[in-house]
Amino acid sequence: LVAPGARAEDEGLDDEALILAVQGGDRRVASALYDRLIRVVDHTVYRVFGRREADHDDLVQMVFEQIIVTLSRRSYARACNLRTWASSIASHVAFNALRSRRRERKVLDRDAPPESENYAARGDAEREAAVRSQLSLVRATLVEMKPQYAETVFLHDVLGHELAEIALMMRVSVAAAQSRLVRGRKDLHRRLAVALPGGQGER
Amino acid sequence: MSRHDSHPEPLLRQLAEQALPSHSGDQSPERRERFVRGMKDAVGRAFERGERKRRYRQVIFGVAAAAAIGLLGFGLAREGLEPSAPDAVAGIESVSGTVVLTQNGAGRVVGTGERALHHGDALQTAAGARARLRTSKAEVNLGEATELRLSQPNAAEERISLRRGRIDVAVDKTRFERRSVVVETPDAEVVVRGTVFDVRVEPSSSATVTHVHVTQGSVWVLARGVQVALLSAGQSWSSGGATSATPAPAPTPEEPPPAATAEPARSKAAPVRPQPSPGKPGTLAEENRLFSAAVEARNRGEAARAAELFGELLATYPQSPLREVAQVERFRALSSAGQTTRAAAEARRYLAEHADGVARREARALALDAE
Repeated sequence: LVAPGARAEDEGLDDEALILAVQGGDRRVASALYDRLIRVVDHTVYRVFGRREADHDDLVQMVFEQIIVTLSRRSYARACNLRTWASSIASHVAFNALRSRRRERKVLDRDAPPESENYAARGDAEREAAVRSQLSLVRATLVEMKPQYAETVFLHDVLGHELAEIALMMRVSVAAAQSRLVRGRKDLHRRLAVALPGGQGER
Repeated sequence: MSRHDSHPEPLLRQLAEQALPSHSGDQSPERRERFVRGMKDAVGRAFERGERKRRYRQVIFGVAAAAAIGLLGFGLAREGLEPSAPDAVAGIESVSGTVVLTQNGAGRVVGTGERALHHGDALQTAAGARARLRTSKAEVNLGEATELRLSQPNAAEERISLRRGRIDVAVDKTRFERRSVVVETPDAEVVVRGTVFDVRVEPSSSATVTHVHVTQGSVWVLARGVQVALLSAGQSWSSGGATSATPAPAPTPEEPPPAATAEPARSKAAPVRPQPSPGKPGTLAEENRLFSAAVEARNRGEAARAAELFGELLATYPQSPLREVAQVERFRALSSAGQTTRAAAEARRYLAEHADGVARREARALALDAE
């Protein structure tokens, strides 16, 4: 299906051909799959953590392994775009990793950005610090929520997926996806009202 | 921070609009090569796992299919190829020496391990050989040079026909309480519900001689369908008469056998002659004929016919020595035929005549059940 090392040809494969190659155990498809999905996986993991973690590449590798296993088991329903589905897998893996770190009480110790991080846009240092602090709190709050609520809110409000796509990715009805989104937002609001400075009196 | 600030939408929007890092470093060929290598391994591993699972499923499916085919074949063999194979009536628990099992006219030497015996099967032990059987109610030990045949048991009895040799029988009275064990010899029938005894059949100049010895409990001995002895523990009886080691008590009307059974004994040397009916002398042969016909009907499972014949015997020969036995058999037969009201009436009649009769408990239960 895939000529060895032929990147141009790899890019010509459609989703269906890639999936069939993975299911057939064709190892040559790995490069095509990488090129197709690396960008969306990288970005999704980055958005969940808010920065490039030291083990970012390990997480990306985990996402790709999960993608390959799911494709091999024929668990991917093919109802949505491969990239869209990959972002769902990536956010799921990243949130799990973040939860694991929260449990280990390490997440707060990692708040300082790595020196190598290179932002496309930097503003005023003080404003930047305030924004970073708030966003860190949002991520920490998402991690504490029920996974399906948090992931639905993240997929919809942060990654910008449609409810119909989320429903396909999470294998629920659109109504259920909408319910998760509404409940997730409400839960996030309630938690932020408590967690943000001056929010105690709002309960 | 204001209440408005805790609303998640603006914060989530900021999260969505957060600038992403440039990917100049991420797109290095080394990084790509590293990921692709790992992904190739993952594709290979996933494929092998899938193949293993597929093979496993195939094996499981194959085993399940083979088992299903085997079961189907077994069922067909039972239903189709051996449609007349009856249920086992006994099992061979152990053998020593040469023991020959004859089934459907074909004999074969029995090996070790239990083997099912069916209606009509015959077992022969050679000189020095032994065998132990278990029926639903009795344990039967065959001595050497012994030959017996088994019959299908019914609700009233299980029958062992001893042609020659010796068997030691231990009957468990707690099992199938209403069923008797009958050891039939050429000369007599030994009827029992729970005891330990032995029966020997020895050749004599005229035909055979049957010896019965009781170790525990008591047994009824019948000849020609008529009770000839009631033996208690330690007592013996012989169809040769003079050879009896312990005198058997004379049969009395108050002590009928628990199950009047079967066809008349074939011996011409029975030492105890049935007493003629006091009311109608010279009718004994007819009484025996009626009784035997009734027992045969019962053994064929024709309960209503058996009840009718027993009733005819009781009505025609009210003073018959077989009266009590016939009464017992009649209420049993009526009960088996589903005529519970008539069975209860017959049981009450029996109790009125034989308040201490051996079948009094059974008769009371039947009378009470019907009320």
